[in-house]
Amino acid sequence: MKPAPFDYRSPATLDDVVTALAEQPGARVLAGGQSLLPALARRALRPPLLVDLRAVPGLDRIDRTSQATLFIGARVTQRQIERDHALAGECPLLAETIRRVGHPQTRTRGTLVGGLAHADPAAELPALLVALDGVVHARGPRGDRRIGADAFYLGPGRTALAPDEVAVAVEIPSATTTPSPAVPTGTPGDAGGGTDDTGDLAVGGACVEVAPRATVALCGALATVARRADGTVAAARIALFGVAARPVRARRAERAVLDGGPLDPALIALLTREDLDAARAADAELPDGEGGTNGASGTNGAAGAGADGGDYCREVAGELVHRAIDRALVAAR
Amino acid sequence: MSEHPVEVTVNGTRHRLDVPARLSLADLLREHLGLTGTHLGCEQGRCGSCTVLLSGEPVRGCLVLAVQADGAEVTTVEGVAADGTLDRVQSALREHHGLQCGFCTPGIVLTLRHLLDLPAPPGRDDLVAALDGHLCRCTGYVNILRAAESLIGPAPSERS
Ligand SMILES: Cc1cc2nc3c(=O)[nH]c(=O)nc-3n(C[C@@H](O)[C@H](O)[C@H](O)COP(=O)(O)OP(=O)(O)OC[C@H]3O[C@@H](n4cnc5c(N)ncnc54)[C@H](O)[C@@H]3O)c2cc1C
Ligand code: FES
Ligand code: FES
Repeated sequence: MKPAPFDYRSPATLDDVVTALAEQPGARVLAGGQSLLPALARRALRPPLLVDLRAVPGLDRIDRTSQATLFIGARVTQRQIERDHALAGECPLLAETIRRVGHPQTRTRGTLVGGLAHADPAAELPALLVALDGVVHARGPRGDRRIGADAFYLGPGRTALAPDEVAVAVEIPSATTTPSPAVPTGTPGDAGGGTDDTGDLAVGGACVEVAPRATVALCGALATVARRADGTVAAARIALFGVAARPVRARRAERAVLDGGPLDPALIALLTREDLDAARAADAELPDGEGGTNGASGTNGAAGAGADGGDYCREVAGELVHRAIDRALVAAR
Repeated sequence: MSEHPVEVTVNGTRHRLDVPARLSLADLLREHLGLTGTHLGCEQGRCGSCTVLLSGEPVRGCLVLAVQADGAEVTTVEGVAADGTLDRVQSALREHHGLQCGFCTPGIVLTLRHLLDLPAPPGRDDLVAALDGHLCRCTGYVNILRAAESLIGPAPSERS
């Protein structure tokens, strides 16, 4: 099927993008088009106007600060990330996860930030934002703001971005400092319990999926850990996709990893179940998605299972988390 | 809805046209330029039959708007064997029975062409990952993979 007619603009500045979005209700940002164009072809969406980011300079950059924080611009393609070999060391989870998104032919065009904004709860990228504790930098008519991963997702295809806001970049706390500020790391004053011992940390990440076919996953778990030289864990973050209306952060399992000791699969499964129950209770409180969705479901293969992957995915979630942590810990040695 | 000017270089020939915003690159090639070697199956990014090279990289022709290709170079299957002689990807597919109806073949030819042109020679895993982006209803893939494998690594032992 062909998309319904729409108008197209490709402004040369970010402010003109915002103005175009604000002037035309229902207008959509076009990044790589790998999720938006299929939704238009299915006529799941009929926006009057697409505002393309392709002519906005500067958005195609991967920047690093002296604190080794990464900034990935809104036009950085998944292919660019794949080809940036330094990134694999800086942020192993990012490198590992990107390879699993779609196909080489879709990664040529698809962007990381577009995948975050698309907010498909059965896709890897939103869970990646949560696992990496990323921060979305946005610009709108009311100015610039930063939105943390834990506040970004509001439901399938729904984010905290207003219709006239554009995501400019995603900030990823550097791999070596990828801390879990929201998770207590040991007792206060505990030597090395903080996250400022960055120099000695080894970081590992892992993405473990249930994929009935080679590249399209039903659900999965992403884990990133940072270990000190003595092997103890300084930071751990875990996120699940395909199990709820939004990516789910496995906080209880994170805490178990931080506490150290051998990982008991049964305990991780129990904790993950509690995390899922808490996430689903929170999802039930979400406001209805009137007009806010991206036509997200169905572009990522999990269509048949519904956005949350169904009972099967919830059943295996604990095991996915266990395997992801296990592999991330090994990778961080 | 308004028309938008587009300038694209396809297989070395430059074209200037005015197109509606919703026109895909694949439809531009097929409907406006008469290059029907680029096939359309699903038109939703799933099957890979519309694969062409955009600035040298493989893309889904159905998931790129024609207006987004403004200023770019495009290679289609017609540009692969421009002089009428099959190139080595095409010859390998032919020799290994890597096609039957041929609907998926143009996209596969371009995906493999791109892999072979990369600075680092592709491994078997790269071939599998790249071919995973293509659906074929006929061959069962084994012969496509054999054809691809014949193009990399140690030359297959001479057959007489
Ligand atoms: C065959 C196929 C398989 C795929 N498999 C996977 C998979 O396994 N895992 C996965 O995670 N994804 C998968 N995807 C989707 C992935 O390829 C997309 O690249 C990604 O989800 C969206 O990125 P994009 O740049 O193409 O965004 P677009 O399609 O351009 O945009 C997606 C949505 O985000 C909005 N948007 C984009 N950029 C911004 C911005 N800067 N600010 C505000 N809003 C914005 C758009 O308005 C739109 O609603 C698949 C797609 C296809 C076609
Ligand atoms: S027609 Fe483009 S992927 Fe199927
Ligand atoms: S040869 Fe018929 S679809 Fe591949």
